[in-house]
Amino acid sequence: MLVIILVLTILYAWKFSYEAKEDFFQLNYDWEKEKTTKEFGAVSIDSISYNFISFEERLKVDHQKTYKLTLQNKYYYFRFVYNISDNSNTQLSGLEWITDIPNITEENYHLEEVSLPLQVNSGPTVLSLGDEQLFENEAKYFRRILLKRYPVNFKGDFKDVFNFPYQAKKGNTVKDLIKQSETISTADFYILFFGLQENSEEIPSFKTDAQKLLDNLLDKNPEKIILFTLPPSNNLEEDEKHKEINKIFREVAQREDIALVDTYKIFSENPAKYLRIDYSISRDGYYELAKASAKIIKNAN
Amino acid sequence: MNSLKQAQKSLKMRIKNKVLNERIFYGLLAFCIISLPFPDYSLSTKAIIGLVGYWLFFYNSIFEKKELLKKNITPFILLSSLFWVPLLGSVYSDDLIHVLKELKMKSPFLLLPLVIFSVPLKNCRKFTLNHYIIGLVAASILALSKAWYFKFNQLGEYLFYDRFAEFLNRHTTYYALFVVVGLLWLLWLFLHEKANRILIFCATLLLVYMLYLLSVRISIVALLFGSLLIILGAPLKLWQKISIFIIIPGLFLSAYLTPNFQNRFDPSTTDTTEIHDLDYRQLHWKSVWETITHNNIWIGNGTNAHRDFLYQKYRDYELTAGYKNEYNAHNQYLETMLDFGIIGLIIFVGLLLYLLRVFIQQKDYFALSIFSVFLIFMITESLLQRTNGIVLFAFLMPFFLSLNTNKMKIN
Repeated sequence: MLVIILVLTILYAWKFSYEAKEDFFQLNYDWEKEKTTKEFGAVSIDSISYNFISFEERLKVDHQKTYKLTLQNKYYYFRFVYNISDNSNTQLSGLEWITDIPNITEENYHLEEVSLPLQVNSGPTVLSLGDEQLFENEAKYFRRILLKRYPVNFKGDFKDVFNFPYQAKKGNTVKDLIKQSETISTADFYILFFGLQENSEEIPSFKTDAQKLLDNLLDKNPEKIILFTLPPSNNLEEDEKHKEINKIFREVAQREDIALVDTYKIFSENPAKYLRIDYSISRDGYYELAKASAKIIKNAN
Repeated sequence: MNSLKQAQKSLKMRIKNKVLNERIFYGLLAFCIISLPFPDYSLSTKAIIGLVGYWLFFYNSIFEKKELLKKNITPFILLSSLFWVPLLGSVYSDDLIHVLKELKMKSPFLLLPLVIFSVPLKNCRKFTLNHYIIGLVAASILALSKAWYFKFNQLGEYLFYDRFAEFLNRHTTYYALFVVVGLLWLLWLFLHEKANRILIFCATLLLVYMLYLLSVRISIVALLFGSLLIILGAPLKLWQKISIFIIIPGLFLSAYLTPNFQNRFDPSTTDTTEIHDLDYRQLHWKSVWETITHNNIWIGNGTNAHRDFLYQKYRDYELTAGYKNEYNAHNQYLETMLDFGIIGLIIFVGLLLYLLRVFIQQKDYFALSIFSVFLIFMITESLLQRTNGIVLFAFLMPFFLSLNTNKMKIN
């Protein structure tokens, strides 16, 4: 019986060391490569919450960077989505604390900007390309959930709040993506999520443009391109537009090296779960997209 | 001569097989609760399946099973009522899809008493609970190692309440229940057995530290009552008992002054404001009581029936966490009334009174202390709605009951 208890303890210790990165995101960072890139000195914290911090100073900060607060040999790392500054105050919102949330004290914290890269995984590279559906609101969970389900390395010029690279901008149209596709880096998999900003008048030329974009990406010899269709919309006119675009996506995706994920169909089964009140995609919705992507990547690998 | 030698050889083999047979059975029996603290929800289920399978095919004959079960029919029916009542409740429930899931979860209430009352159970309390302690200590050291690794490497502070629970892969209340049971057994060993005092002391220190990290407030009250009951039955002089009765409550309750426990008394958030934790609890139970009176008060709503009225009550009282997380009653007595009404509660209380009577009659202070722990935890937790609580109760109560009823028969 003692042997069984010992074996169980060792087994669960091993299991934890193998699976801990999925549940404890901070283990995905390469802490040994941490490097200070900018010093801010002593700062005074006005208010803190799980997704917000406010400083009593005007600070020049960048949402693409990681920041570190230090007080009495305790360190607190964070990234944020956007900031509002005036002469005497800086508010950072959409915060993600990497380790712990500090408390407000009378003492000043020391603030620095740090370079804290993610660990490189043994899996394939993935570049997510498109519009704001790939980084706004709950989209931050898409890449994180995908990594949890399959070890991949993300590529792109921008970094989200979890430090995952991506290649998307608000308002990107297919024409913008065609231009970008000529210069973006190669990747084993491209995930495409766009179409939200297309004008209804330009739908007739959309098929040609979408085909051109796919051809440009296929020239880079990826293993697969994963193409998401657009989700349902609560605006009738928008929804009709989404349906038309999705019809085009289905036509252009009829190739072996392109996998189509029918977002519209998946989300229509339970819109209350997969879409928020404003009809942006919910965390559960991004979970489904990540799940579908991971399955395609796994099968292709 | 040869036939005598053969007979002797055959007897030795039969005895060896019987010894091996018993070892396997008691090992599997103990494993049902040894598996509980480990961070794997399915482990105790597998343990029960292993035990039932072995009991069914290998342990004792069907004839012996039937005979023993007949002799123990009253305790078996009473303890397995925690399965039969939900089964009856499923007949009038409005959510038949989830009823099967609920019955599957409650099946230990049928299976464990069935096994325990149909075997000639030897006094294996010491063997079972000693190994339970070893398992608990091993699982606790594992969780502490993870938390301290994170702390030393500045990867986060996890040495408190629900943060610590991430390493246990268990709800804090249930792990605290495991720890309290473990501590009470260590106390009993210290007072009654000439066991290794250093080992007991080290294990006690570790488990007390675990209890501090878990910071489950009701666990202190349960540990206090359980300890006092054990001391009541301990071979100590009267003045020693009186002194302990005076000192211990103050000592235990001072745990609430420690930082971790103080943090647990932070206000709870509603939709519009923050209120004292006790006020939140009051509103919570008020919502449950109003739901009980809205339902059929005699038989309740049925097993795992829809609780839309209750969640609406949470909304009415602005209990944000209540309706978002679809809280249960957080009180086993109210929980029973919600599903099975006054009749269900009477059957449940009847079972508890029967257990109390047997343990008092047999002066089994340890069984009484564990029983009191369950009663106290049930005030603030619907203990028998989660696998951990179900398995621990479904194992320990028939286990103690069987040992005591066997003693009664011998006497």
